Amino acid sequence: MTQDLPSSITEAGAWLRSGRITSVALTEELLARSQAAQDTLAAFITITADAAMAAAQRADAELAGGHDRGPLHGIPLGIKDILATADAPTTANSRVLDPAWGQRDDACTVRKLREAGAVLLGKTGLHEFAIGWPDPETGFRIPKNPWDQARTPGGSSSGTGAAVAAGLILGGLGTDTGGSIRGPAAYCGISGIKPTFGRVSKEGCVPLGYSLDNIGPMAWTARDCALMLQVLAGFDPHDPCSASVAVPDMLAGVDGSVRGVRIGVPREHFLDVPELNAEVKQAVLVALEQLAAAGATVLDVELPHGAIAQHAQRAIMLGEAYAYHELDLQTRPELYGKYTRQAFQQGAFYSAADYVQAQRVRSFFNAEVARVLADVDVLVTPTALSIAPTFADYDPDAMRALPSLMGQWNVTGLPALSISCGFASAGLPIGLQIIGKAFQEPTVFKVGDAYQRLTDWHTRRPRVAQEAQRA
Amino acid sequence: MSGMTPDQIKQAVDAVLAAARLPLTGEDYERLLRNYPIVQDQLAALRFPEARACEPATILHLA
Repeated sequence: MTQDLPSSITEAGAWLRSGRITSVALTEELLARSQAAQDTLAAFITITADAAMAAAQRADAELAGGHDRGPLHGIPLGIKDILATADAPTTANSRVLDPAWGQRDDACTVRKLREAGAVLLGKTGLHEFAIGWPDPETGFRIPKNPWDQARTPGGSSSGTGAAVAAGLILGGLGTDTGGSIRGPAAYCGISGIKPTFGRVSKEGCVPLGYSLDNIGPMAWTARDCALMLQVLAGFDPHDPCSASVAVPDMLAGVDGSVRGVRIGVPREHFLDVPELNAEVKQAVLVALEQLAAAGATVLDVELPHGAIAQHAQRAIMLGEAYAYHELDLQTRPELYGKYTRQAFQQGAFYSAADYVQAQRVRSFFNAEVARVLADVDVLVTPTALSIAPTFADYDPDAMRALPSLMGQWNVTGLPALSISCGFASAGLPIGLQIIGKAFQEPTVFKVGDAYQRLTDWHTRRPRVAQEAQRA
Repeated sequence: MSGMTPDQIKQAVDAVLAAARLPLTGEDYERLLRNYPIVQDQLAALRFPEARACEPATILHLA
């Protein structure tokens, strides 16, 4: 492996157009790295090498012929294996999903990426049905964190997070019902956004929680995520949750400045919480100081029902998931990994009244957040309580008891971006979460991009990526 | 509900499971027993006075 590679989608686009690299060369190199890393990182469930090479050849020919499809043309990406693709099976990392489900046309998001000229390297690993901690007995490989392979890359979009961080793809799709894009982004030191609910079509995605699920981009930088979301966004009549709203220029206002931007910090539950790792808290406080020094106004805001909103998220998610999985839990539960099965079984605890009550709390919390956002442009919190935990430390009951800082934004449906804001002493990245108003993703990107111009956390690469680059 | 005795938890969980008809391993059952009071506490927290006046957000109106 000798090919010098671009470090972002933005840079790759420039290289492709200047002739410094071809999509075929870039794709060949990343396919070789991806296949070589399967025994260690296991980022992919399926690698679609032939289809990727064909797409790369098309991209080179089109670009050479003056047919430029835009910033994703010729760019190697990965697809979380819970989204349907025409050229590969879809498993949801489960023996339960009907193979016929996966033999279908591309999901709306996948189709849009192909139409934009993206080169899809394959299907990335995930937590089973986007919820279950990996169970080795299911036979699926378990993605590892490129920064420390004894640690999880987070979930449920584990493979996309690991593959981006390891330099195997330049970006990819994740899904997020309670933090499944943002958690892996934080643990892997990359960027990832859960868009506004309804912004991106869910057609062709295996559901977890119908009213909480989102599909969104993961990449090294906020700017790259904006480029991807520009392609993914838009109304889709085949998704009943799709919002019929105009798609703005996602890079509008992304000018490196946060001067005049008002940033609210909800301390209760999100920052002043005893379970928050001290190094994470310190990194977030420093980031807020840097944003303030760059001209943003940073102020504390009152958001007292964050913990209850987390309970509502869980009731809604497990209620909706149980409705989807009930028959399989009754008739062939042994096919689920045990952590997935045990998570879904808890859905039986929620009555119809509990579900409706959670939806009432959702209304209440939405109004509370709307009042806060009337006075600020974005909210900023840590993404996760800690750095990526080790596989050995996993305890599902203990994890469930911890506060979440992410599920609240699935309850509200608001856009939430995670970017890297530092590294802990253990060498693992720390995530900063930026939450915006409904359909105001450009403002979220503006703040994330400006922070990344102030800092270099997003330019750091794990040793496995550096070694592949040097070899 | 966190004041439930182990017998009360077992009775409640058994009643849920009888209605749900879920085949379980021993480990599955033990985990459900451990988590039932936690879930009940969370559900109790959802029932605060201000939320009683809210319409359920069955459809999100964000636009």
